[in-house]
Amino acid sequence: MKLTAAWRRVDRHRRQSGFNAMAKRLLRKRKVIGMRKFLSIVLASGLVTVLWGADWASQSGNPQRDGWARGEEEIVKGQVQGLKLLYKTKLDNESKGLASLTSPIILSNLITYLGFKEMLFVGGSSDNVYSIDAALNRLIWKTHFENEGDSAQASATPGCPGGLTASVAITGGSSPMRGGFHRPRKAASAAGPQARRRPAAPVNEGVFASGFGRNGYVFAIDSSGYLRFVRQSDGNATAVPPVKFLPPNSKVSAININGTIVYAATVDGCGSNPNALYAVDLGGAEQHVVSFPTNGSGLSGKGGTAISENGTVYVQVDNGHGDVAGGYNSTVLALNPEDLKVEDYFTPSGMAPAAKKGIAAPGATPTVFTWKGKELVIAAGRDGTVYLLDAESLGGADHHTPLAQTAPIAAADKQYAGHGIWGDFATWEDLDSGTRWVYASLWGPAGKAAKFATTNGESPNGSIVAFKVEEKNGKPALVPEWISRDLKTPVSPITTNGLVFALSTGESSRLAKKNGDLYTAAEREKMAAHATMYALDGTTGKELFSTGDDVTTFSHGSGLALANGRVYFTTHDNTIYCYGFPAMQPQLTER
Amino acid sequence: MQKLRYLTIAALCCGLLSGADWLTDGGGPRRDGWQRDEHTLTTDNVNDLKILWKIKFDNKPREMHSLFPPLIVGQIPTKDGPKQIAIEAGISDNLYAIDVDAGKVIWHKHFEYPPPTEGRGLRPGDPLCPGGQTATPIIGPANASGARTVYALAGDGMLHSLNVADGEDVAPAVKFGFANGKSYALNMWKGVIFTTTSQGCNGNPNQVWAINVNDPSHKVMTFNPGSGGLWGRQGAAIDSTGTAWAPTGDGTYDPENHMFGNGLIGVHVVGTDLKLKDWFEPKDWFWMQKRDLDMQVTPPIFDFKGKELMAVGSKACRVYLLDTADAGGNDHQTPLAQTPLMCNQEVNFASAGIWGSMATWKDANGTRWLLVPFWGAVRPDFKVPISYGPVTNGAVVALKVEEQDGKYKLTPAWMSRDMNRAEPPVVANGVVYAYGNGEYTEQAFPDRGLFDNSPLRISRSTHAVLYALDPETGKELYSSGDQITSFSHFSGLSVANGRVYLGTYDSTLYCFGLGK
Repeated sequence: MKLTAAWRRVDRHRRQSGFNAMAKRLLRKRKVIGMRKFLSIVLASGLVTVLWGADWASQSGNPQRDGWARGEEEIVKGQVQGLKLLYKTKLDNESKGLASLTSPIILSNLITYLGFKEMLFVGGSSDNVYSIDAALNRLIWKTHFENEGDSAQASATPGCPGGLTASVAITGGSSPMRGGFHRPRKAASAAGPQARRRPAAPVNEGVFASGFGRNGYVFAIDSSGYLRFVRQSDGNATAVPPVKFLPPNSKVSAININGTIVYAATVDGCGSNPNALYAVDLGGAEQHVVSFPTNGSGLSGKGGTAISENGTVYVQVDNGHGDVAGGYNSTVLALNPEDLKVEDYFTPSGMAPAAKKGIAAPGATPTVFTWKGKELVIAAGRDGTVYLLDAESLGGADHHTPLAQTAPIAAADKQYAGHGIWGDFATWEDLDSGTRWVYASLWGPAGKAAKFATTNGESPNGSIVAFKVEEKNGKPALVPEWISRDLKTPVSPITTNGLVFALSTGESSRLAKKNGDLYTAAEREKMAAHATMYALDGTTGKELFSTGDDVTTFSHGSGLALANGRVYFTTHDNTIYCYGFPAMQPQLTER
Repeated sequence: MQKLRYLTIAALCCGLLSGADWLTDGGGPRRDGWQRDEHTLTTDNVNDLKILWKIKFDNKPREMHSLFPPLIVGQIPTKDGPKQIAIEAGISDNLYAIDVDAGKVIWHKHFEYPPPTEGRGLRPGDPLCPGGQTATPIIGPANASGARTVYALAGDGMLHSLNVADGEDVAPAVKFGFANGKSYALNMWKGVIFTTTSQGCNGNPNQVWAINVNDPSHKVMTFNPGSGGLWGRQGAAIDSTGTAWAPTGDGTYDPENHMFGNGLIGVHVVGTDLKLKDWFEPKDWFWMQKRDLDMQVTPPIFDFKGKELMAVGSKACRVYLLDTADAGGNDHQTPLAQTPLMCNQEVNFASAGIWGSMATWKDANGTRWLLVPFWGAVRPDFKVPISYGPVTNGAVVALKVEEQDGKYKLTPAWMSRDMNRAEPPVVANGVVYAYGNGEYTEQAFPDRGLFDNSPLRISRSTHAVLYALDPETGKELYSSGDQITSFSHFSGLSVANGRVYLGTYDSTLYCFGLGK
């Protein structure tokens, strides 16, 4: 399938810039493995012969939260400067405080009763979920959730907006798919750690329908705390009954799905609810919700959880305590996927305590990836130190020893300026060179200890920082490579084809006033400028593209999404922005 | 009175002698759907059409398929004298010959063969792969004695040659196709029979096939465009050079590697091989591929101002005008002209767009018309000067082919009344015949996703309706109303000598005419 995707890229390149050397290489490669024979089989299969694009299934693209759009064919270096605003769509969602639309989710192709659709799903703070034809900019459906009986939150605050707060999700990841079917992750094929992975065949066929041409569901959590199942084709939210999942009026991290288990976490103590990670296995006839209270802050980052290949759930908790790890202090936890018991943990040594209770501390959702055959975890401490951990032994025998770590990247902050690493990481591997890159979103200026090989000007408001994972003396090391231009409180970066996309939200990074008092939503809105999206060179951080003044307001709580030649984000005024190449959108231009 | 009777008989004989034939699907090798020799039905009398006869055959439908467009041929010498005969093909490997004057079956041939062992088998309930005889046969030229051969491709892939007069074999059957491989309407040029295949039924490759009936070796020639199915309803259309033009289904466009998905290919016989001669590829092929909007319309071919042109379309609902001598220009992607999108606002793969084929004719003023059927609703932004109320289920659009200073245009002239899934029309003596097939065409559902299922679609189908339209305005001149009681799937119209024929799913052949 990768070669098919590559072949389509060949065609794109040929059309744009002639038949280049890369195309020839791909052609040779394709011939070698008999791709034509494969295609002939596909085409002769009697099935519809559409070859499918890639999805962007959840926050940061996939359950690993790596932010990597694999298989992207159109957005490549040399072309990215040609990105244009393809469309912007304002939805009728009502903002709650600063919250409006969640991160966009892309399903590359679904056979619906209206035809084959590339669908964009997005949640709205007023308990809405929307589906847009991502290629045609047409609303396909809107679903509104009625409150399930628990009293709605009376008023929104910047920290606790109420309403729908969790980024919606579909099963799958950010790799090319074929057939429009999204199977729950496959069962383990080997003993050992993988043996505990969930079986692939769920009992709840209605939710996890799979197979060519079958409908799937969008997973959403409404303000009542119910897990909702919204049919992808038509937005029906009643065909599968909702499941009581979380306390009402919680602020919820992005939904994550592994096999038949759905994860989400309550954060910031909203609705007077304790911060905890929740999981529900939908594979059985009855659904039992299990939880893991942090006894302190909520899970760090936008994604909340990252799931490894064997199903282990990785989270970071800024502060709190538990029976296994004791006191948390930017602690990374490995949790059993079914009962959420702590199986391993890493607590950095010497981390200064959290600034003030009730004010969020910097931190990011861990990311899981494979490097030289070994699964690694990336995490960030409150001070901006980035840690590289062994997924099978997070902190070594003493739970305090990472495989590698950087110096503190963030500038020191004692007055709630929000300095630090936030959101989710992004990481990818350059298959040609074998280089593993890691990117993070830094709010505020870099610290004095941060030494990057390449800089791109001052960055007092924030930046994207890049690291290489290299082997030194037989051990992995994190090497700071570049820091980007100034970005105002950027969201989690995403990456594809050696490019990094960053969204400067326009918001202030400040968490509170200097005296520790929280800002009101109105004050935060007043402090904000408009958002700007950038494309950066993934090896140098050089700016390659900017949306300039296209965007008219700030973005809050959204993430970037990228699939099939288009990049998406949302803004506070309930608008979806879509950038791509007009020449590759004949359906929009009708040329 | 006696004199008048003699004159009438003489006139009838002359009419019979110079009568109209319909020897192949689409009326001729160029698939133009134009019956040039019709003299009986006119715009003035077509309103008096009635069912002259209908015959229910013992042909067993397979999936949604049943009868194919009947072939009409006159002056066939039979043991009972010369007769005008209709050859009706049935999906269950049947051929029926009908004396159209009497409305009686003359002979019936059933192709017997053991259950095919090749291939991967068929899937019950799949409308795409019914198995059996799926190709409309073709009638060859008359020999010195006036006898004609009908060529029919049985479900086991054997090509049969039968005497039209009595159904007897005139030559041994030869292997031409793949068992249950879903071949499309046969076409013929200088003794070479062409067909196309699609949907990979039973493992059959999607390609163009040809065989020279005069070749003692019976070599089967093929060209595989590396695409989805070649499912133009009327198979390939053949131009004046013998090039067979066939649309290709969803697939990649990669000419260097011989992949021509979502395009139109022209192949011809070189020596004893089929070779690619030219092709056309829409610039938005990738979009069409992604949304399953196959190019699947057999292109009608016609003469226009010294050129030989053709038109092709797809489920996307756009028509392209092409020169058979240079399809798509140097880059193969530049048509002479193209229409805006006319229908399928939803970009639906199942129940909208242009399906099957088109028709074309030239009126007495020299105006060249192109008749385009489509399914589903017209696009709100498609502008046509004359129309007849909302079109939500389908219609026929008439386009004028125009040229000025070397620039071509396809100018919308009229759009017919709403028809439930408008099918390829036929034009005869200045009357346009069209029909809504009455078929339930949905293939996907909110609750089930993709579910293209014959029993479901059959149960929800209604009935076909035959229409006669004014060629200048599209005004309805005749409707069969509820007279036809079943739907018609992937069949077609035939018109000859004052009769209009249509077969339906219940294996009934309807013959409309003026009666006495």
